[in-house]
Amino acid sequence: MISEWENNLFGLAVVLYLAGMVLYFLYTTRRQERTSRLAFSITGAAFVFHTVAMVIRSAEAGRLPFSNMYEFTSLFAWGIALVFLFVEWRYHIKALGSFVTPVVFGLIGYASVLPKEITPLVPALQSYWLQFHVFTAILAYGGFGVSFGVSIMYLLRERKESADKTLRGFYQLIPNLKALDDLNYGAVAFAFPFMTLVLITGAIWAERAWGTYWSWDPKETWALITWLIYAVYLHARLTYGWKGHRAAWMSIIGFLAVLFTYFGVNLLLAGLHSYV
Amino acid sequence: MTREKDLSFGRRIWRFLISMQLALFLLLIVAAVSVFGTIIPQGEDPTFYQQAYGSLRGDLISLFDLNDVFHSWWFLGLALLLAASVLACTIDRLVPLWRQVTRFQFRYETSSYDGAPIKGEAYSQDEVKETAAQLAKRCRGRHYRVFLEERDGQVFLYADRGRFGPFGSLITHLSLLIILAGAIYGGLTGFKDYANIPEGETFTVRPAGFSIKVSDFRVDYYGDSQMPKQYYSDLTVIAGGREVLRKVIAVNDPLTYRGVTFYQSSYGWVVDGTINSQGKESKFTSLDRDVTSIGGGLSLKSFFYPDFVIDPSGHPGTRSHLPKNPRVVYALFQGSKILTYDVAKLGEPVKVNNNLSVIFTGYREYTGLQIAKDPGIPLIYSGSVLLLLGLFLSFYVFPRRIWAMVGPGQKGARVLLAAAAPRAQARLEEEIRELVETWPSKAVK
Ligand code: HEM
Repeated sequence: MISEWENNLFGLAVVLYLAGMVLYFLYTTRRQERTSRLAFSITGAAFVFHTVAMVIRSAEAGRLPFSNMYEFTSLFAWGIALVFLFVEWRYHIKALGSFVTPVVFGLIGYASVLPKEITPLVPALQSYWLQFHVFTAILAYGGFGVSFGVSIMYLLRERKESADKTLRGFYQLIPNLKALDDLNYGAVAFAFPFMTLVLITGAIWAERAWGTYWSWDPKETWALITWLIYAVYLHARLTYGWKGHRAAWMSIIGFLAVLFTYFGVNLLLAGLHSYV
Repeated sequence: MTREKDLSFGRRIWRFLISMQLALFLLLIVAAVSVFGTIIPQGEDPTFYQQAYGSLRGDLISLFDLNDVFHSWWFLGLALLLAASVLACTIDRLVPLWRQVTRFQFRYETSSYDGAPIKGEAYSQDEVKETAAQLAKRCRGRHYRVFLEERDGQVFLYADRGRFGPFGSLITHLSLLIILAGAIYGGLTGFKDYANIPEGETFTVRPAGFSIKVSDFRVDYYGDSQMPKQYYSDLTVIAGGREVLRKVIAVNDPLTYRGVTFYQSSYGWVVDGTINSQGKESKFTSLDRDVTSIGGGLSLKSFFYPDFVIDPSGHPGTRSHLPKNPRVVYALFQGSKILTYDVAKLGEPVKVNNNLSVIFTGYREYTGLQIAKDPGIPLIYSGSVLLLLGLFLSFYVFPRRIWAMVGPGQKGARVLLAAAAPRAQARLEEEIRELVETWPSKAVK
């Protein structure tokens, strides 16, 4: 049984995320300041309702909502929306919405078709370390998700620029390549320490729960692979000056690893985390 | 210039280790083989791979330890090579890094302000010293560390903040070495064990030289469901014949004594009984679902059902976890030959033949404990703390430097500013602009 309130607010959030996404798309063709402001407000409202729905769920379950696929997918979307809204508010990159909101909507849409029952936690999942673990994962994935959206914008604008010099229509909305590259790096630099915390808190939790801090199960191994990819990104950038084009590709590959860690491992590979 | 072949062997190895190519290659290779380690099922026996992948690929998997990637010699080799590379890079960067963090210089030449990444110029009506003092005060107000020097009627200023940021990569790298060292040390000196201990019994942890007694075991369920909420074992450590420590452990809440940790891991039933074989009586305890040797070449496999029922498909099952209708489903073997199997009530003798009878006398719960000693863990956790500190310095502490030259102007003083912040260029540019624009004694261009 999930409460009526939670269900309705969640449904409202899904609809508003969709509306926000459509408005961001419209903005790319109409290019009216008003449209983008509306898109931002609607996405912000979706985020607020989404947050309230999760708070209600937490209150009802007596714990943070992270114990099954529905809860984590919803949180994943929430984290990306959070980092996205912050970046948009701080840096006013309007076109970013049309790249990030589809990711958010895709996740939340997927969550909305999953079973929503509040299931009691098995004893292994009753740990503060696990809550910390999930919380840091949300922030890390949020940062990586934004760097992914920014990187796609980068590659689009770059392709257009090399084809013809004048940027028309939609392309005028995309910030210049330098700004995008800075933002790509900024998002990764923000997220990497959190990704490291994900690995550490996960290890501490596993040690407390199972007596082994690292057991190479597919989920933790994929988290490590993700972390290694971003470590390569940082070093190549710092010492080889891999910026721009290559950095954008590294970000895209890194985020695909994030997605695989979450969905691929659950759906294709088995392991300790298979109940999440 | 030294040519490549003039370098000694040692220097060439060093060059190899500190090269970023090697580092990136190793990081990518470790990531790539980890992918293999997740898509090829790990730890099965060779026949499994033969069947799943065909005989040639199955053989290759076994030959290269792809069935146990993460414990193979070559994976450890990669990890050690990576560690050597990290260590070499760190040593190589040590002196320049130390200089970068601890040394500073004033900029005495006007020309050196022109080429700075960020620059600014301001005029003040105050005289030189007063202007310099004000500038210093404002820098301090923004949490900069400030140094001043007077020379030939001019004042030079150097200010910085976040100067420890560059130590981030150093600390990060060292922490990785500490974590790896912890993992290896723990692997070499620790042990892992698993014990199923029935309530009331004592288990001796051989490598540690002390015992653990299970006084009680208990499960809490969610409401009336069969879903366990938490389970607890009441443990007492017995060392040198004395009870030294007592704790009720639960999942996620283990007990540690002398570096050995007991983790609540699983639980189940045991049945107790006596066997009468050719007039000799002996007792046995049989773990649910386990095969127990009960003497006289006989072995017993038992299943305990606290609330026995035969489900519609004809299989035995239990209605609840409460012992309302306890029954034992058993099978007796002589070697691998099955003698008999049936369902028994407690206390009723089971007569197999004239010379052999068995009686199930009671049941208890057992607790499954993971027992582990890993002396590497303190290293790993302190390495982790350092790792976070290092990353914090690298990614959240941005070194910023400001230089200034305050000299006499037409009507007071003229300030030349230069600044550098490789990671916070935009922010420092803004700071410099603010410094210039909000000059208290009116700035005259
Ligand atoms: C998993 C392994 C590694 C991790 C997590 C790691 C982490 C880091 C981090 C966080 C930074 C700072 C990056 C930045 O400021 O943008 C850094 C810098 C650096 N790393 Fe690594 N590193 C690793 C392996 C290596 C290896 C194997 C080498 C050896 C070639 C290396 C050489 C360097 C160098 C030369 C720098 C620049 C340092 C400086 O200029 O102060 N790293 N590393």
